[in-house]
Amino acid sequence: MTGVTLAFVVPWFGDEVRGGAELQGWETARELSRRGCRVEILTTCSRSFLHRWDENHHAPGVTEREGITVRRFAVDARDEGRFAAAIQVLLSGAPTNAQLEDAFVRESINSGALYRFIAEYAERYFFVFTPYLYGTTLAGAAVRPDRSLLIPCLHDEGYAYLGVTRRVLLGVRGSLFFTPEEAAVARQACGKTPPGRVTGGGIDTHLRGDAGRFREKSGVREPYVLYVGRLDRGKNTHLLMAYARERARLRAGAERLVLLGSGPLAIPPDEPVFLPTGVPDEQGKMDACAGALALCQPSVNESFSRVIMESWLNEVPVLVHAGCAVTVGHCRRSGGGLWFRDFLEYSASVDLLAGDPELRRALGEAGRRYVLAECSWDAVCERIVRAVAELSGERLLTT
Amino acid sequence: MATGRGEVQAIMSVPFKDGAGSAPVPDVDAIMQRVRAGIAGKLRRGEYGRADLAALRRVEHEPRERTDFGPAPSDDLARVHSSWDPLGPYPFSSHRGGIGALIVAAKRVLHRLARPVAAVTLARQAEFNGAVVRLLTGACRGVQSLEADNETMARRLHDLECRNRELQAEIDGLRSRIEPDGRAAVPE
Repeated sequence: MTGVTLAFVVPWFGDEVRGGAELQGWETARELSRRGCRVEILTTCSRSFLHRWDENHHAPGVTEREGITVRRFAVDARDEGRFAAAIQVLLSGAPTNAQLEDAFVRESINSGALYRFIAEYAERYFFVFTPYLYGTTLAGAAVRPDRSLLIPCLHDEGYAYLGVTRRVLLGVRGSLFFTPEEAAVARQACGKTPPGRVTGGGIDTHLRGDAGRFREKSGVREPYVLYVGRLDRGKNTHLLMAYARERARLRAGAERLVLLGSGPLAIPPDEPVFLPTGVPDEQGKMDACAGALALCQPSVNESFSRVIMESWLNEVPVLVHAGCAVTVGHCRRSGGGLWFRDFLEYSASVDLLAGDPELRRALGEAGRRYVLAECSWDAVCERIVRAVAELSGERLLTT
Repeated sequence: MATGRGEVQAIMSVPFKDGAGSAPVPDVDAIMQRVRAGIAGKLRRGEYGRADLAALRRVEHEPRERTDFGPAPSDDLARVHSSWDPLGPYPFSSHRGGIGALIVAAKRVLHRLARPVAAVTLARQAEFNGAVVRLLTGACRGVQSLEADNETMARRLHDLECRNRELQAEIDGLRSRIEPDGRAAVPE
C-alpha cells in the first residue's frame, strides 16, 4: 500500500476535553477512520484547557481509542506570567513585535517531544493541526510545514492577525476551512489567499430530538428560546439574557430562555424567565432543540457552530448575531435562520417566529436540508479526502 | 411598546428563492429587510416613546459593563484610602463578652508602645502604600472619565444606528416606487 497516514495534532485529548475545536478534530479523525482512512491522534499529556498546561496528567505513550492510535507526549515547562503579559498586550490592540509573539508561542502549551516526533517521522504522516492559536499548532506546524495541514477554526479576532498566524497559514500545504467566511478571515489576516479548501464541518445527522421528553424532564410548558453552549461573556450569553429579561419585562407571557451548558456566568435564580438545565448528554441536547421556538446563537466568535446544525437537524430555526459572518453565512446559504443587530431586531424576529408557524416550519426544513447536504460525515469526509489529495499531492492510505 | 403578534403576522408571508438543490429556500434577506422596515416604520410613527428608547439603550449597554469584579471599585477605593497607613489608627475589637473590653484596652496599649519601633520598620511600607493609593486614585478617575465618554459615544452610536435604519427604510420605500418590479404597486 502507498500513501500517508493523517495525524491529527491537538493540544488536549480525552473525555474531559469539551472544546468545540478539539471535539470536531476527534470526530473528523474518527469518521475518516470509519471510512477506511488511516488516522492517528498526536496530543499532549496535559489534562484539558482548564487545567495546568505544563503538568503531565496523562502518562506519555501510545493508547488506542475506537481503533485509532493515540500518541501522548510530555508537555514543556512554561512561564504563565510571561504568557499572560503577552496576551494582554496582543489583545489590547497595541502594535505587536517578534518578541511578544515569540512569548505568546513559546509560553503556550508546547511539547518538545511531540516536535521531535514530527521531525523524525514526517515522511510517514501528513499532520493536521487544530485549532490555530496554541503552541502545538503554531510551533508544531513550523517543524515540517511541507507535511502539514491546518483545520484552523479561525475567528475574526486579534490572534488571527499575528505575524506567526500568518506565517503558519501561508507556510503549510493548506488549510481545511469550515465555511467560506472562515476562509475570508484567513485571506484578510494574510493579505492574500492562503492555500486551502472549504471542506465544511461534520456532525452526526442521525440524531433526532423528542420535544415531549424534554418538556417532561424539565417541566417547561411555555414556548422557549434555547441557548446551548458555554455560559460565558465571550459567547455573548449575557447579551441574550439581557434581551430575554427585557422581553419578559415588556410583555406578559413572553417565551422563556432555556440555557443548556455551564460556565462562569451566574444565572439569577429568582428570575423565572431563565431556565438553566446544566449540561445534558447529546440526546438531551437534541430533545431540548426539538421543542424550541428557535435556537439562539448570540456568539460572534464562531468558525462553525455545531449547535446551529443540531437545531436545524430538528427542523428548528435559528437566530444568530449579525456580527458573526460565519453564522449569518450559514443562515443565508440555508435559508434556515434570521439574524439580529440589537434588541429591536431580536425581539421582532422572536415575535415573527412565535406568530408564524408556517415561517418557522419553512426555515426549519430549509435548515435540515442544508445540514443533510453539507454536514453529513459522508459529504465532509469525501471533501477532506479530495482536499488532502489536492493540497498534499498524496492520497490517504486506506486500511 | 407594541410588539403584538397579529401585527407581525400581517407583514409576513414566506418569500422563497431558488436554492442550490431542488427545493426553494426561504429568502431570509428579504425577510430581514421586512423585519427592519417594520422596526423603522414603528420608529417613524413614534410608537417607541422616550422611556422605551431609554430602556432599549439600557438593554444594549448594560450587558457590556463589567460585573465580574465583585465589590464596586469605588467601595474598594474607599477601603484603600482608609487603611493604607500601617501606622494609622486601628479599630481593635474582641469577640469575647465582658473580658473583651480589657483585651481591647491591652491591645491599644501594646499598639501605642510598639509605635516608635513600627514607625521605623514600616516607614518604607507606608511610603509605598501611599504612592500606590495615589496612583490607583488617579487611574480610577481616568477610567471613570473614559467610561463616561464611552457611554456617551455608545448612546450617540445607537441613536445614529436607529436613524440610519429609519433612513434605510425610507430609501427602500422610495426605491420600490421608482423601480416597480411587481413587489410594490406604483401609486396612481
